[in-house]
Amino acid sequence: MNPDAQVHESVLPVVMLLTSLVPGLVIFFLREDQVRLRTTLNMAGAVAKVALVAVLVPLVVAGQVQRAAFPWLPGVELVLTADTFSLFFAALSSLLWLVTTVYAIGYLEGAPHRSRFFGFFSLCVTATVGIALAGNLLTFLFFYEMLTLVTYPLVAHRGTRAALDGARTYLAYTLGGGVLVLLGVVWLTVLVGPVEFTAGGAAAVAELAAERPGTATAIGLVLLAGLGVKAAIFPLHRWLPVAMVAPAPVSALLHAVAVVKAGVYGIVRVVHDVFGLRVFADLGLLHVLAVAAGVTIVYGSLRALTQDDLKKRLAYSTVSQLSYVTLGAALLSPVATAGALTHIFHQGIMKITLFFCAGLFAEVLGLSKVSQLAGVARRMPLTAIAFTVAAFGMIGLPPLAGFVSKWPLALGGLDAGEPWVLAVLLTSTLLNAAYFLPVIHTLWVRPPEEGARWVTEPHRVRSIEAPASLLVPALITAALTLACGVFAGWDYSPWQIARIIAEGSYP
Amino acid sequence: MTLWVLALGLPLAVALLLMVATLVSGPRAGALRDTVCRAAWLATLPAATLTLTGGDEVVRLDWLLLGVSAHLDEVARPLLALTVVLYAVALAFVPRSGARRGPVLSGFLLVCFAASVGVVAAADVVTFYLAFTVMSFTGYALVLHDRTAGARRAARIYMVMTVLGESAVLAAMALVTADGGLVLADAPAAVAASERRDLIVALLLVGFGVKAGTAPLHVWLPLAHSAAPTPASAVLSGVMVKAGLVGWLRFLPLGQDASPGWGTTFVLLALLGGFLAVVAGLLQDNPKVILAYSTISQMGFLAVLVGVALAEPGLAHACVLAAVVYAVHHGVTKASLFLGVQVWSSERVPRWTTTTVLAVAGLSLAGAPFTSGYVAKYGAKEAVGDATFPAAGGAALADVLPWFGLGSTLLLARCAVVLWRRERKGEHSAPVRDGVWAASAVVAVVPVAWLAQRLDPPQAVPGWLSPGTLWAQSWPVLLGVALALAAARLARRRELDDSPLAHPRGDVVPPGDVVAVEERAALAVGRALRRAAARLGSVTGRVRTALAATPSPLPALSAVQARLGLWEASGAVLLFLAAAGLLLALTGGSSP
Repeated sequence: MNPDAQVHESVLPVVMLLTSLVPGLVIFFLREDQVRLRTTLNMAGAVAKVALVAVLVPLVVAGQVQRAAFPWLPGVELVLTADTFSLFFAALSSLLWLVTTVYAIGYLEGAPHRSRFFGFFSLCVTATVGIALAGNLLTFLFFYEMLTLVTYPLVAHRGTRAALDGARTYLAYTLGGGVLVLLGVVWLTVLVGPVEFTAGGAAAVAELAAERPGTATAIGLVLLAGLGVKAAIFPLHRWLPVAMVAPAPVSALLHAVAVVKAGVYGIVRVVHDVFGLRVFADLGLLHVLAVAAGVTIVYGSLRALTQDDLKKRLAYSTVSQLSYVTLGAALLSPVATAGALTHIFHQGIMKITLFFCAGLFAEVLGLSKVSQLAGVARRMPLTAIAFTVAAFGMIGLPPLAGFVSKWPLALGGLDAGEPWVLAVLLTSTLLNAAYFLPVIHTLWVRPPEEGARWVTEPHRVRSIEAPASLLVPALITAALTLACGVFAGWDYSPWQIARIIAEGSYP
Repeated sequence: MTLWVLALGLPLAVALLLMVATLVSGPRAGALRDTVCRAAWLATLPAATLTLTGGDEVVRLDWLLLGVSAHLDEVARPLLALTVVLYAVALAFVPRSGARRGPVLSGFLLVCFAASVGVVAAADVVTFYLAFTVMSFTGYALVLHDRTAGARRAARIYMVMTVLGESAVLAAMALVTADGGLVLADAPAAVAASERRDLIVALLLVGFGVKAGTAPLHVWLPLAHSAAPTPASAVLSGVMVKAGLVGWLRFLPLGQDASPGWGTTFVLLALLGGFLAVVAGLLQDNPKVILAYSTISQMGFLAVLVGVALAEPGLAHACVLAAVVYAVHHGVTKASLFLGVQVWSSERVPRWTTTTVLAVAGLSLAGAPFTSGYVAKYGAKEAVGDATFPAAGGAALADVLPWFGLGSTLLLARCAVVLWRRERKGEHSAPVRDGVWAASAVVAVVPVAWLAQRLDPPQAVPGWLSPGTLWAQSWPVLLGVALALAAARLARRRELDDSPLAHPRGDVVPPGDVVAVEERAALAVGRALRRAAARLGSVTGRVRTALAATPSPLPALSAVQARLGLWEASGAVLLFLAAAGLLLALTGGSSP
């Protein structure tokens, strides 16, 4: 989104896609018992992707944009660009993919259909990175629809009645949303030709908005409604709590990077890089979006209050927290934009930690309800610490990651002349505290129930509390939650990068 | 710079070590834990050096959080000294406090220490909020530490009040920053010039009022102080409640334009809390609860100074400095009294020694001549000048303030009675530590007087032998003692044996007084929220059912799902979509 960037033709963006696409396709054809090969492929792809991102970040921050274009059809190109924003999202996806892969390998040890699972798992990340690197609307659409489909088998993986029901709801919602996005993209493309993402908005779209504001508004609305499904904006959020029937690593990925983030990422791209913030504001759509996000924030938090199922509570929390990003993207203030972009990253690492921990409690002790967690910290202190750190982060307490994104959002709301944003954020903070603190209290303070079979003396855990492949990812992301807050001032921290990206939206 | 990093880093590092050692089992970890716990007070030494030798320039660390900064100005340095001394003594008192899991307590105290240093020394909004939040939430662990039923309830109430206060503080911080007060030195002017000035002041009053024990937000204090282990109560009362005061001094538009309305509000709440706390405290029978009520009363005294500074810009500077001196005096004295409860109850120190030390601390709190209270109260009385309540004209506040001394005397007399009757165990002693405790209580007058001297002018220092001042400071104490003696005589009467007023057992007014009312209100709000959430769920559920009655693609979808396996279906659809994409691209490409 940096307007003065130098553009280099490069194969690196394609290679980034291939690092997960190739392992994914190969894994489909592996036998169930080829565990070592499958694990090697998975890990090699994930590590390679992280390494590529690490190589690209300094280049892109220095102002180089890597671009790869393929003529698809006359006049239509598939474009992959690695600019600051796309790399930001790609970095999040590849980082969390790596830890989730480790977690998933441990989680599914010995379970059936692992080749199918890991194949789609890799495709899911390919689609997410494709969305991140998409340089124009059509490429974005292509990967966006692909993501919808490759995630479906993951949600339905267990094949139980509940899993199939959840997956069907997921598919109905996201396909419906996908159709809307398709409609919006086609409509816009027919009117102004292929739209490349441009910092501050595409010129052709601005022209269209000036000449035919009615049409432009309609297109904007259709796109927002479509993207709003994956971004879980009320009342299109329903699929998200239902989809938590998926296995823990899928939920983790789903709630942190893959599907929901594709929605909010798309919203940011459409608002900032297709229409441009000012054009969007002039059409009156910015306000609509901000209000919808505000309502969703409060609604999600309220619903989370009453959920006893831990994963469901986390799911409603995702509904609420995602709209922080949407809200920030819908405010005409550079600080708010930076806060929103930062929250894409920070919400990802915090929420994935929480889902990892929920999976740990379920896997190790067989507990899935908040009310069953009494005293579990005595048995699983490290997991409880990871959960506590992430939950405090979600509430937005300093020095954790959540504060670094919530604070600029609040300031940005005031800066944009929308003081109600502060009220919404405070309400959400209070409600966040109201549904997270009881969980923490239950974990650490309440004595275990009589006869709970896992009870041991405090401090007398003989070996490590859980399989390392499940515990270590949770500890890593919890440490990241702390690090992203504490080192927010470092040059390559998500917050600093987000500020650079945000500047581009205000030419 | 290095000193700053050490001052904050060492306590945090030691705390981390203690926590890790707690997670690991085995005899070696246990021995390490106990050794570190015994020596934990040494971790405050870098901060002590910083207090003495640190320059007054602003120190910045840009890579940390959103950029943090700290400085030692005339408000920060004395309070930092107080923080260091109290935490060091409290940490030294942990190993034999009788608290279970001493190393954990020390660990949390060290985190709290670093945060308290941050609160007083912060030079910008983000640093201040960071430190304030960490301190508040660590406080929960301190209150909860003993895990008894009482501690659980106290901790729950502490947490609810803290979260409410935090939200108000966060809102105030965001508004102050948005109006240009990111650097604390600019904050008061920014608030004064803000269009939302009244909102900000109200948020500051509520947010910091929770911490400073302003009525009616004080309810957590009596519960938390009696539930927490004694060393934790000492720092809670000595330092942590002062964080609310620091917040007021840093952010309120003191010395800018006059706000008589807000000034009067502050003074009104301060006087209400200050005097009603005495009544509530006299009806208790737990020494730590009585001392907590005394803290509420004394924080009321400090809030009067803040209110005057708000109402009369001309007096603001004097009031701010008087508040700092008073905070130092009260912190040292109150911590000595709290630790005295532990010394009295469980340590083998000669009874007369303990009695003498406690008496001196008590007299000091009441403001008797030749004590730190003498200096601090005199300074405060001079600082309010001829300010009145209400600010528009009414009673002279300088005439009201001495009555706080009477309240303190009565509370301490009650505390003495309760303590005297208490069972003593006298199990062990730690001579050096107890010596430091006794010294800090007895000679507190020296540093406080020295501080007042340094800040003069505008701080007023009393003449040590001026008969007028001596009398003005003595009569509240004498009157208090006389009243206490009369009450004691009265209570001896046989016909009053069953009177709950003559022999209070904390049942007429429960500890935390209006807490039961507020607890019920909070529970009602919680229930209403849950009900609203449930209704929200059922409404959306009904809408969904209604929508499901209309034709939907779901049955068709499930039919497809049933016919094809997961794998093949999605592969086929993927192909189909790719084809659709191609088609779309074709139409998109062929249009102009």
